[in-house]
Amino acid sequence: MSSIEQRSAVAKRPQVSQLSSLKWFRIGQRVLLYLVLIVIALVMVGPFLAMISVSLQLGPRAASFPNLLYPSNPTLDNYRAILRNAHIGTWFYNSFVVSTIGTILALITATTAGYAFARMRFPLRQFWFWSFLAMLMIPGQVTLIPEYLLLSWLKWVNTYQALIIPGITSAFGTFLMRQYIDGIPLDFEEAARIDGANEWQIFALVTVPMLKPALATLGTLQFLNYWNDFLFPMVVTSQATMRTLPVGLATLQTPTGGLPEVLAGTAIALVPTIVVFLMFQRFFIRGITMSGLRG
Amino acid sequence: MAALTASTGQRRKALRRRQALLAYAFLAPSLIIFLIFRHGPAIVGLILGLFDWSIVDPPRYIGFKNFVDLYNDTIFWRALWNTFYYTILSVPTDIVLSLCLALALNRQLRGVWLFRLAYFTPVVTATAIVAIIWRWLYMPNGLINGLLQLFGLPSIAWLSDTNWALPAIAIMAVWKHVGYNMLIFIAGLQAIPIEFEEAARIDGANRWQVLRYITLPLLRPVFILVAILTTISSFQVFDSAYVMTNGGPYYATTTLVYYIYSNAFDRYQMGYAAAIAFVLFIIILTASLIQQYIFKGDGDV
Repeated sequence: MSSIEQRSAVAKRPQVSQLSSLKWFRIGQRVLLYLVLIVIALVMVGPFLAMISVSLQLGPRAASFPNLLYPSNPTLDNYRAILRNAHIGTWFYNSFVVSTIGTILALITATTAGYAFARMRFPLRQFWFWSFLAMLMIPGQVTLIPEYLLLSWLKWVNTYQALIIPGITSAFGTFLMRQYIDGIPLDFEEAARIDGANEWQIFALVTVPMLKPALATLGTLQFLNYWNDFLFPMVVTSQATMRTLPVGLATLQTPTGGLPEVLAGTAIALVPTIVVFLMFQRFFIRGITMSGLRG
Repeated sequence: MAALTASTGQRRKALRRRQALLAYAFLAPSLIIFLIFRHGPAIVGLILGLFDWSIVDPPRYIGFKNFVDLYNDTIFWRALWNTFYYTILSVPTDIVLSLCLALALNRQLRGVWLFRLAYFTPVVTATAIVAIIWRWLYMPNGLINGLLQLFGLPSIAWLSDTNWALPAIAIMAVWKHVGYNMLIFIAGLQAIPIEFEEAARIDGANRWQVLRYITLPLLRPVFILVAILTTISSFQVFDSAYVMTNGGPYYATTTLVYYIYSNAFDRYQMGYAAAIAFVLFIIILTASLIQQYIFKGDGDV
């Protein structure tokens, strides 16, 4: 007892010079930490800032160091040119249609399947569940070639359905919804059943409204998956007018205006990504941590 | 009496059948698409490697000839090595950096959310799009060489030098992916009960000792998970190699997936491409099984 008192007494009575040097050490540490964090933040965001800076400049040296750092005569000419010269408008529209419809359909299929797995008893339940999970282990590159052959056999190459439909079922999405529905107490559904609601009514009016956070999480992940996908949409489209934004931009021959024009195109392509991310960042981050920690 | 039980039994059976029907109605949209566009292609994809198929002619069964050809294909070995090399270059750097960032940002710090947001921006963007930006950053007179010269360093012909092209792509991969792992590590750190650290502090442990003996050992499962997920995704690298270097120069950035792509869609050797995809599948399956095995040993996470 007395030894503890002694120790705390010593701790409470440090010498003045010691205190201030400790304080300065702490402040120094903080400042150093901030400096390092700011430098890393610049590395992470710098390429995007440089892209915007170059896309606002004209002339042959715009994309070279050090002109690229600051637009002295900012202009939107590159944006006008890329919108005129390439099919950016069409690609943007394609990406938007594919991502939006695909996400909505993906949410529907994942929710209904997740509900069936979580709440219903039926023959082959385990079998189907494991067959869904097994697909998590098979990389998309293994299924890519047969999928392409199937889509070309169906004459779906260069169509929206080819871009949308194969992507709407995800093992991860089904798994996520099942887990989430498992966590909801049965009480609500039982109360509705006693009140005479049928299974569809219970699903649509009782369960689905409680799934909003899971739907937002999965929806954000799915939208960005569709929007950012590259290899698959490249393989199933060959017409320039059916490309999605990343595929169109990446396969674009350098236009007359050169690099600043292309970078104006990438800037346009990144706007929806950033908007969706900023709007739904909470859900997106939750989705990442869930997919990472599902173990 | 007997008639009564029979009818209740029948009714129960009918009820169960109705329930199963209902369940399959819920499952149908997902299941149909899964069977057609996932399960079917997966099975076909895994056996297509046993066929010779150039699209124009009908597929012909040739046994293991594609795999024998692969064994003798120097470009295949190059692609396999490139993929491993890319993984060795990017994954450890990625993990160490993201762990450091997570440790730095998992605290009360003014503006911490802003840093997290900044570090996370590259994660949400399309690889193909940022590859266009980085293709330009790596140009002889681009931003990166400009900065190198500013510090008195010689400039590098990043994407046209066979020794630098793959490291250049790996650097971009780390830049793009580090925020993702950082987030998983932060979640892992926040799952560690604060009492452990407090107890160690009371026992007189300093900050490094807490990190070394408390935090890192408890983070081990998350660490393994991150390592394996990152390794698996790095084995599937394609977008950046396609956009930035087209597999070149001289096959320097021809990765496994790039080689699958070029065999299937430039040369229309569907069977041969499927055989490469099978090799990729085996590698990824092995990584997944190692993960399963380690987690079984560790208990649940």
